[in-house]
Amino acid sequence: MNTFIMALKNEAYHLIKRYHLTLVVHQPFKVYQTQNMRVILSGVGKSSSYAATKFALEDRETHHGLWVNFGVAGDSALPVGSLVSISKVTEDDTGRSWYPYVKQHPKCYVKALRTYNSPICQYPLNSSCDMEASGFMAAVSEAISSEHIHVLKLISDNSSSGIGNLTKALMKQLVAENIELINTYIKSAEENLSIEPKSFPFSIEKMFQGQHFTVTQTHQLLELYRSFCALCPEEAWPSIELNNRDKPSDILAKLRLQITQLSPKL
Amino acid sequence: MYSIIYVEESVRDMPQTIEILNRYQNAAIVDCSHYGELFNRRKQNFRTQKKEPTLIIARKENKRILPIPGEYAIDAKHNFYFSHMLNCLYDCRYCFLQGMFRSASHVIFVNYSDFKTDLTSHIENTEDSICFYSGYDCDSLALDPITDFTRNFIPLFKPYQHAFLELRTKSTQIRNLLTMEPLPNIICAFSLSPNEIVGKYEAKTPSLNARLAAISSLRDAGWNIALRFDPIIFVDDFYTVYKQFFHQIYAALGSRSIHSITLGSFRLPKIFHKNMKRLYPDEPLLINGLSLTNGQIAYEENLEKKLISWCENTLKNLDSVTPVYIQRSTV
Repeated sequence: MNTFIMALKNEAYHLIKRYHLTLVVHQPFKVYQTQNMRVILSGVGKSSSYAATKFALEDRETHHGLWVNFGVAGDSALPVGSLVSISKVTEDDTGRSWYPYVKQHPKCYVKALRTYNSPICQYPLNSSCDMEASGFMAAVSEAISSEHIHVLKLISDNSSSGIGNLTKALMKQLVAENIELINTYIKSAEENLSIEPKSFPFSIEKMFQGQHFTVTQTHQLLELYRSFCALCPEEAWPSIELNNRDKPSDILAKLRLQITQLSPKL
Repeated sequence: MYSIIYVEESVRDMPQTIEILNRYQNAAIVDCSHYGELFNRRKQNFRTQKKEPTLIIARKENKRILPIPGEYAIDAKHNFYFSHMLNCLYDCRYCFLQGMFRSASHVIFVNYSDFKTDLTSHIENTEDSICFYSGYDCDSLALDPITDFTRNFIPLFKPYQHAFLELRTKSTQIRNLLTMEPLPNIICAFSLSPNEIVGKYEAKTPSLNARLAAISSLRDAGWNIALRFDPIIFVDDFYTVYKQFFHQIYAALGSRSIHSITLGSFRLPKIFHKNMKRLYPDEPLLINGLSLTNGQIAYEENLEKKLISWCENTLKNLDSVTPVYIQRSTV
């Protein structure tokens, strides 16, 4: 499941439409979702972005997907409508920096970004600028593997156009014009997702339903199961004999023995 | 090769940095204040990053020359290692770097002059033999066309007969070496494995034949050659695979002298093994026949002894002259 943290409904409008997302949560943040993707509307500013990201992180099932802060940004030089994969986010007031993952794409710029507390008229020279990315990065970097974290910005204003010309309609229009490029970027970023560790298939969970494994024993069982799968990829489960009197520790011992016996002999 | 290059602000204007950046004109350059911000951050996945590693150009501030773990010494009285690079182009499944580093990014430390000052001071502080190993945290030669490591460091050893430099490699990047004057105190140590193991566990490395061809060229040019059989890996048909392998090497290299041979079976510090298993839960190599032995994850003690002594005897039958050093599991 990919998670998009976005400030405004107008920025999200065409993503919601393109991916057929439905509103599933109203409070504390609006969440639009399907099976593979969700958009969380944070509101404007880095504190809101931080809070929305923290809220989204509570669902641990989503930690293996992409985490994207997407929205409009200003830039001194890039043309309005440019899509930028942000390589470095610096919080203007604290000077703290983070490095989102970058996926190079021929139609996508790569640039640093500064996050400000309020809209600015003087654009920084070498960076784009926004008001949310540092809040997102501060929250997400603690919990999510760096290769899953992206900050993707669409340039909505620059030195020639100025922020005064940025309207809700323009935001929607810019996203609409770039929606397929955004989609391509996301598909290509998904190639870098880490492999999810193997978990128990339902049949194995059912087999041990009556047993009381402690948390440590469950970890050990999972570890042994993964080892078994690595050594015998064709088989579902070792052919060990279990009986009703076997305690979890006996089951683990039998499994360990079985795995040792699978190793080749000189 | 690199689409993103992170550059520490302090080395941005160094000639070495500029030279590297000139090679990658299409790469996005990102400033950073210290390589650790990227390389050492907590949440990252080595396996994922290995698919498309980024490059970090940085300065090594201190602890540039470090004593080596006891088991790795060969015959010098004092033994140290240094790393002008962290990580490697290759993707060997057994490599301990996967368990040691959080990031698979390639880091090049470009403050060569600081390294050279430290090396000179270590060398001049002793009259005893002193050896420096350059391939502990990286492959010494794999990125030589970019780092120019050999051209920068080898000439430093010319005036010091008691000082040795080991270049440890699986690479065939020997062009620089072939244009240089061979020195008797430089050891070109090649890590070799049977073809079956190269194919299965040493992704992105040159084939055994390519490495043997590189060895022959270097030897013809007058360089010292050493052979490193570490790790020895316990595979099905172990005796057949390794017998054929040792014979193939001696058939290719003939009878001319070899500086040294080292042998070590597959072993990993416990914590590195744990990290690697987390990255590759589906990798039999990290499970097969391994147990906690002498504080390391290694083959069970008797098995390890059998493997190593068989290899040692086989090698001695083929070559009774070259010294063979055994590198055992210690913590």
